Amino acid sequence: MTAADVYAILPLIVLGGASVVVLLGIAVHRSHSLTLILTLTGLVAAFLLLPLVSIEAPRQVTPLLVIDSYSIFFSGLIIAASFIITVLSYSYLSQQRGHREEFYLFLLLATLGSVVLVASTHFASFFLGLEVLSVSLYTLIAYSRKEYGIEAGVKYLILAGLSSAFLLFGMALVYSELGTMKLAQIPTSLSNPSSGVSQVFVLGGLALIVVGIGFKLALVPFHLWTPDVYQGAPAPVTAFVATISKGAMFALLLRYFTVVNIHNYPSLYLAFVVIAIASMFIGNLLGLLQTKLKRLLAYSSISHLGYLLVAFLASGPLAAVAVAFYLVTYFVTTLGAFGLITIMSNSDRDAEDPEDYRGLFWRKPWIAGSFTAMLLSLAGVPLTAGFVGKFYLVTAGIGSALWLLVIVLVVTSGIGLYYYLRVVVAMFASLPKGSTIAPAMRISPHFTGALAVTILVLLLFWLGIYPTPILRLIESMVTGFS
Amino acid sequence: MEPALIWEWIIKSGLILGMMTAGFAYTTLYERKVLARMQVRVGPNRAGPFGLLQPVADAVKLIFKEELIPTNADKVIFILAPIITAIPALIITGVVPWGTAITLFGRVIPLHLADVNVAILYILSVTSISVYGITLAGWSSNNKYATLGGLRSTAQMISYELALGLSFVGPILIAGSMSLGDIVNAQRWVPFIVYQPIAALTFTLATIAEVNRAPFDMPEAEQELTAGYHTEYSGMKFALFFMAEYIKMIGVSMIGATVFLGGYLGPFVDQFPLLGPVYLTIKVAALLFIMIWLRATLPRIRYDRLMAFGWKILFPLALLNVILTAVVLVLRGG
Amino acid sequence: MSALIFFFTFALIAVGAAVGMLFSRNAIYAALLLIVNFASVAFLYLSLGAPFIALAQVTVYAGAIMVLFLFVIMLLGAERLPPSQELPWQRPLGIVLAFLLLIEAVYGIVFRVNSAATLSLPVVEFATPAEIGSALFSTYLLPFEITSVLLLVAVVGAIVLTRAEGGARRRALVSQITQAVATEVPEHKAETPEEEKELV
Repeated sequence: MTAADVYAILPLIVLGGASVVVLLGIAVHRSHSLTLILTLTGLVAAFLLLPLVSIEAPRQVTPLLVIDSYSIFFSGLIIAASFIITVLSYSYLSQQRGHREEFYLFLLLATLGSVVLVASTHFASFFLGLEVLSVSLYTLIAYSRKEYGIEAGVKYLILAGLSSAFLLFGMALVYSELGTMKLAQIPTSLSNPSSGVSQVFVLGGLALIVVGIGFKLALVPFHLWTPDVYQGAPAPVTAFVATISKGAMFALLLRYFTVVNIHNYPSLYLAFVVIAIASMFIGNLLGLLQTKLKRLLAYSSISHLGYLLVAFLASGPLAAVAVAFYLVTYFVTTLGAFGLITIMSNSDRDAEDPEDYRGLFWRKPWIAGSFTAMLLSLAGVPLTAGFVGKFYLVTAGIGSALWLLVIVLVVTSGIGLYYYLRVVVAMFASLPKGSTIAPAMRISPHFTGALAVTILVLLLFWLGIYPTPILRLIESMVTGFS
Repeated sequence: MEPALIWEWIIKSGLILGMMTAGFAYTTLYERKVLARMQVRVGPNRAGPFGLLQPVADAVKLIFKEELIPTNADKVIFILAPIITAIPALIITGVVPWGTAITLFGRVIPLHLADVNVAILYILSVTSISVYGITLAGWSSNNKYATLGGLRSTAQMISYELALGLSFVGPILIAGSMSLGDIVNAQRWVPFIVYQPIAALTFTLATIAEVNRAPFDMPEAEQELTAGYHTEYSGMKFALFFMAEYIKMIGVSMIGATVFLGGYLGPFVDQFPLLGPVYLTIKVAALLFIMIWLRATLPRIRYDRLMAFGWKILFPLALLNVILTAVVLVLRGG
Repeated sequence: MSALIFFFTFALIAVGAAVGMLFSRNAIYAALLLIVNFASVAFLYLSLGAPFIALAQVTVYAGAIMVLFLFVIMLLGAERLPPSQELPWQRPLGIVLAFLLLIEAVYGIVFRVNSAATLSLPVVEFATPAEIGSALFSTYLLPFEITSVLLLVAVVGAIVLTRAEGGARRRALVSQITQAVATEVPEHKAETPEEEKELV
């Protein structure tokens, strides 16, 4: 590794260094606010380094990582989301008993793992990044050690372990056929006619890799963990699982399967189509049956990843832009929704029962209003970020003439609108006279959480009304990765 | 592969096994004699001149003892456990060199069984396997004392294996090789105990815990656990545990002598290669004496202190030694 | 020829141990068979000329990790699985899918166009400790560092999740244990919460 290589991965080094500083900080002086400040400083420093690093981009740092504008964009998105989640966590953990400081350590390390994932160009960095992310998440999910938290943690641990096994087996099969784990060499090895590559093994290997990725993205046949984990995990962690973990994995999916051109594998392509349709339908239909808000958002995220697959399958230059933009809107909206849940939760439990929200508007109009905006954006109503994102997805789908997928997208969005609106209606319903207010309802939001949510609401409308600057940025950064 | 080479290996292996077994027999006598002297007694002196036939008498007694298997014991594992304990003990010294090479019947015969480049790793892996015998013996006896003894020994061996592994790193770094032959050759002028006193200390303490000797003989603490993991064993099966313990003592003494005391090296060993095994035996006897001495002197450590000592003192100490050695070597431009 | 015999011997042992592990109803036996499996795979590595990996496999997997498995099984007293689990349709489906995978693998091996010539044969010295060390600390320094981060996460995570918490949690645990003891030994069964406290 040369000095320039080290310079290119400075954001990663800063994240890793920040986690060590946080670790030592906890050991020397256990203080919630000090840990928060250290964590946020690390994240800000890493974020500010990204533009500096992009001067050097694109740069291949060892065979494992590539620092190009694509990875820098997604690193920025991840670090920014991590910043918001850290702030939300402070507001959440302030009400919790027990040790709180280690939480931030795991947030930082999970962020590091995600950043490694989006820059990965080698199976080794893929797997290592994924494991750093997953192992941090096991702890974060079970962090509260309440009844559901432990259950969610164990479920996630077992299933993530299983999916890692699939992933590794797939990588082994591909490696045994192609003799390389470097992403850039895979197409050349594949097209080399003299090597006598058995497509059966490559295809089998890729299919197993898709299983591993599908688990992380909670796409439909691999989605069974999602509702339980969303429900059991602390609200900020659920936000992390829903946004950063999935976003990083999707960025990786797009990079890998653009290099390994998915159109060369009709069966794999078909599998993705089936997964996309199933995710959209099941996410939206099962969402109708949910009463708990976090479970509802779990099914919502399943369907959103299904929508994203439409653009992924469209695979043109527009597709990458559509995916990136949709991920930005999805991040903003989902973080906002879970941020509001965080604000309303108390030390006993997270606010997710329907009673917690009934008549919310009449007592906390601002929170109810923000929540309405988030839900409408998830549903894809105009003037919100979600609408613009979905518009781009549909455009990308139509551009590649994926009529079936686009129709399913539109139809299932319509179904989804119903359950989002049901929550909105509940919030505006009047309280029955004489009913007691649930404990979780006595909201005294910590100002940090309120600030984070306010920023997210503003972003939501900004992206919904005037998305051009962000789109310009995405177009300049995301297109043209190799 | 020529047949003569295979014969050479078979003979050498047989020799090692035979020496180890004979060594076991006389180590027991050695221990009893030394202990007796330290406690101002005479020790066994009836069987043969100076009690030299005592081990034979013990063996005969053990062979003719009744074999008992508890009714509710897991029979298969109960029988397997002593075997699993004895085999690693017997094979652990396969990588230790005995000398340079001798010429016999016009053939140059190197005085080692296998001088592999991963010898240290081999030792560590055999050590890690040897835990199973004791654990399984404890569990399969279906006896709570035995189970507790087995569990204790597992925890103890895992804890001390870390320090043991790390104490090898210093000598490896200096010699630049994991082969015990290279490590011995690197000590031609100065044995590593001079350069690596901390590693030698952590190695000694960790190995005493590894072979469950006093003051770390928690798994068989009589007052608390009757006889620990071998409470239910008798006859030959008990003899196997007994044998494994003493062979392990010899084994770790050989390894310690090789890594820290210069192994077979000594005056005139280059001129007379047969002196190599002699020097090694002397060094091993000295290390065995230290082990027996410790047993005679020190009381048993309480279990929680044993674990705390392993994790909080020995392990960081060994780690510190690794860092120090690495830094010094880099600074010296090694 | 002798290499082939060596391979098939240990491959058979490995597969047999793995299958035995799956069908064993006793967790201790399953763990032991897994150790046999790891060890025989280590022998396969050895036959591929990779002694370092082979011994690391024995030390880490067969030694360290499985000892902890056994340790936990024994501590929890979880040796025997319940006689049968209610999985009415998953088992046949699993067998069918596994069989399909097997057919695919056999098909792939039998009908492949060419032998796996794409994998370049490594040089003889590729697996010496020195080679592995220099590869780890030069070419693969970055993944090495990321792995160290991974281990850090795992260590701290394990400590955070198992840390002792005074007060309410300990009391809950004590009552749980009391209940377990009470159900195991019927004559000491606690009738009321007060009695339960006395038993503790």
